[in-house]
Amino acid sequence: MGRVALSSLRARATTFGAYFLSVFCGAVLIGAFATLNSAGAGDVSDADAERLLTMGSIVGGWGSAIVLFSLASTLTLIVAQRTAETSLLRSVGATPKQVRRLVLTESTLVTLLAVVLAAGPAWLIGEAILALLRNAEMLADDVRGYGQPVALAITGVVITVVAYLAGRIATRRVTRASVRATQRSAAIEPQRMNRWRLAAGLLLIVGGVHLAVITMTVMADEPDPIAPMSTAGPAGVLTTIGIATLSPLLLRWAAAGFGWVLAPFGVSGHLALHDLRARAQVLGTALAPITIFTGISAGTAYLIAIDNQASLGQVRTPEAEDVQLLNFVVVGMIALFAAIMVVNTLAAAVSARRQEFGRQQLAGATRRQVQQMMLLEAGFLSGAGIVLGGIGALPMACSYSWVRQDSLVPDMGPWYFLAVAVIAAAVTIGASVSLTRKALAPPALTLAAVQAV
Amino acid sequence: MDAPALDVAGLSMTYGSGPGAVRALREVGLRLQRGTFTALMGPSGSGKSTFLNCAAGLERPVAGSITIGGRTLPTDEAEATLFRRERIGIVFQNLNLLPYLSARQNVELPLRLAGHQVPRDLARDLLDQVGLVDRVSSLPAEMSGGQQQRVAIARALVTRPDVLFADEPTGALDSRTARNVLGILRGAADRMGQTVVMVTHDPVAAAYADQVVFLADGRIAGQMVNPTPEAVASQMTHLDQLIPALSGAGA
Repeated sequence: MGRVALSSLRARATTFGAYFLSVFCGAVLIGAFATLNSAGAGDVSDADAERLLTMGSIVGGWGSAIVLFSLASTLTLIVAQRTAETSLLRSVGATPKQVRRLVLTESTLVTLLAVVLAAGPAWLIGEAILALLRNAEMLADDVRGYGQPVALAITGVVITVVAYLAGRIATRRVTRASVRATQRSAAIEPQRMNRWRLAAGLLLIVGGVHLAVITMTVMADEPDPIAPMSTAGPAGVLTTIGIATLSPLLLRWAAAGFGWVLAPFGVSGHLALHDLRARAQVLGTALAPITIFTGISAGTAYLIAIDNQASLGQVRTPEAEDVQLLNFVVVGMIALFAAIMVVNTLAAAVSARRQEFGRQQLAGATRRQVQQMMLLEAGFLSGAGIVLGGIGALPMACSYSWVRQDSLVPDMGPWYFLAVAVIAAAVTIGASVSLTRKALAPPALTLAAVQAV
Repeated sequence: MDAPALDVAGLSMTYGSGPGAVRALREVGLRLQRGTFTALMGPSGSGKSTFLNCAAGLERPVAGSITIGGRTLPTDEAEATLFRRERIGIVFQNLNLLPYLSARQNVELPLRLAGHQVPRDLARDLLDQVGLVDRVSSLPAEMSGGQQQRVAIARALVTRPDVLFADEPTGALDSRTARNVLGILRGAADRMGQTVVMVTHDPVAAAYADQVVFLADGRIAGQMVNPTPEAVASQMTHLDQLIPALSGAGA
C-alpha cells in the first residue's frame, strides 16, 4: 500500500498541502514554547527557572489544546472528503484494514515531514522569545536555550501520536460500514454528530464555565491582582474550543434558524442555504477555526484591556509586565495560527467542491453565480463564527471584569470585539472568494469530471 | 418550417499542437430539423463526444460555426453559459445532479439560475412525465441510477431547449432501466417535438432514434434513417474495418 499512498498523496496536493501547513505551524507554535520550558531546566537561577516553566506550560496548555484540536478536525475533514474514493477502493477489493492503513500511512508521512521541518523554525522562534525576555530584563542576561532537541522531539512525537489517533478515529467510520453504505454517504453527509464529540464539546464548555466561576469566587480573593488571569484565560479557551467542537451541530441549527437571511439573494442564496444545511458536517470544520480565532483574540484583548485599565496609576510589578508581554506574544501566535487554519480548512473545502462547481455550471450557472453562492456561504460562516466566538470569549472577559472592575460587562465597550470580528470576516470572505476564483479557472466539463477529492 | 434546430458547418477540433496534435474533428457538417431524434455513433476516439461538447457550447472548436434554433452559439464563455441555459439541455452519463438539492429543486435549478419565475407545478409535471411523481422531494442519493438519470432529463427539458444533448445517457444503466430512459427521450421527441441528439455506442439505444449519424476518425462516415439494432451493429463493424484506411489517408 506504500506506493498507492505516495501516488495518492501526489494526486491530492491541495488538501494535503493544507494539512501539512497546519501541522507545520502547529509544531512551530508548540515547539517554540516547549524550548522555553526546557530552557528552565538549564543552568539558570531558581526564579528564572520558575518563570520559564510557567510561560512554557501556560502556552503549552493553551496552544497545544488549540493546535491539537485543529489538527484532529482538519484530518477528520480530509478523511470525510475521501469517502467516495475509499469506497471505490473497497469496491475493487481493498479490505477495511488496507484502506485504513493507506489513509493512516499517508497522513503519518505528511505529519512526520511537517514536524521534522518545523523543528528548525521552532528552535529559532524559541531563541527569539528568550532574547525578547532577556532584553526586557525579565530573565538574567546569561539565560540561554537548553535541551531543545529533547523538547522538540517530544513535541514531534506528541503531535504525530495525536494525528495518528485522530486519523484512526476518522477512518473507523469510513471502513466499518458496507461498501454501498459508504458510497451513499459519500453523496450525503451524515446528519448526526458523533456522540463522543458531543460529550467532549459539552465537557469542555462545562469546564470553561466552571473555571470562570472559580475566577469570580476563589481567585477574586487572591492578593495578587494578576492571579485571576491564570484561570480566566483558560476559562475562555476551554469554552471556545468546546463550542468549536460542536460547530457542525451549531451550524445546522444556525442554518435552520437564520437561513432566511440568505433568501433575498436569489438563486445563489437558495444554493448556499441548501448546501449549508446538507453539508454542515464538513462546513462545521471550516467554522471551528473562525470561532477559535474570534473567541481567543477577542477574549484576550479584553483581558489585557481590563488589566491595563485597572492598573492605571499603580506601579506595575515585573511579574505583571511578564504576563502582559507574554499575553501579547501568545495571543499573537495563536491568532495567527487560527487565521492560517481558517484559510487552510477553506482551501480543503473549496478543493473538494470543484466537481459541484462543474455540475452547477453544466446546469446553467455562470461563474459569477457560483462565486456569489460561495461569497454568501463565507459570509454566513463568518457571521456564525463571530457570534459563537463572541460567546466563547464571555467566560474570559466577564469573569475577569467581575474580579477587577466589579462589573460583568467590561468597561471598554464592544470595540475590541468588533475589530476582531472585522478581521475574522475579512480573512474568511477574502480567502473563500480568491480560492473559489482559482478553483473555477478550468472549463466546466473538466470540473464536473473531477473526482471528489 | 423555420430554422433548423441545429446547424453545424465546417466544425474542426484539434487537441494539443505540433506533431503530437490530435485532430478530433475534421470539418464536420450536420443539419437537424426540429423534433428529430438523432443518434451519434462511432468507435472510441471517433470524435462523437467532442462533437457533442462543441455543439453544446461546452468546448470551443478550432473552426466552424454552430447555429442553434437560428442563433449562432457565442464563443465568449460567459455568453455561452447564458445561451446554453436558455436554449440547450444536456444530460451526461453521470455528471448531472447536485447532491444537496431534491429532485424537484434540481429540475427547477436552470430556471432559477436564469432568474425566471418558476411556475408552481412545472417541475412536478416534468417529473410526472418521466414517471417520478412520487420522488419529487427525494435527494439524488436516495434514488437509483435510472431514477437520477430521469431527473436529469426532466431538468434538461425544463427550459424547453432548442436541442437536448445526451452523452451516453444509458451508459451506466442496466438494459431494462436503459430502455425506460430511452423511451422517455423518444417520447420527448414525439409528444413535445423536442429535438434530441444522443451520443451512444449501443446499437439498441441508437435504434430508438429517427436516424443514426456515424462518425469515424473525426469525419461523418455515413447516415442511416429508421435504424434497427441489427443494421446499426453491422454498420459499426464495417466502420471498425474502415478506420485504419481512413487514418492512413488522413496522415
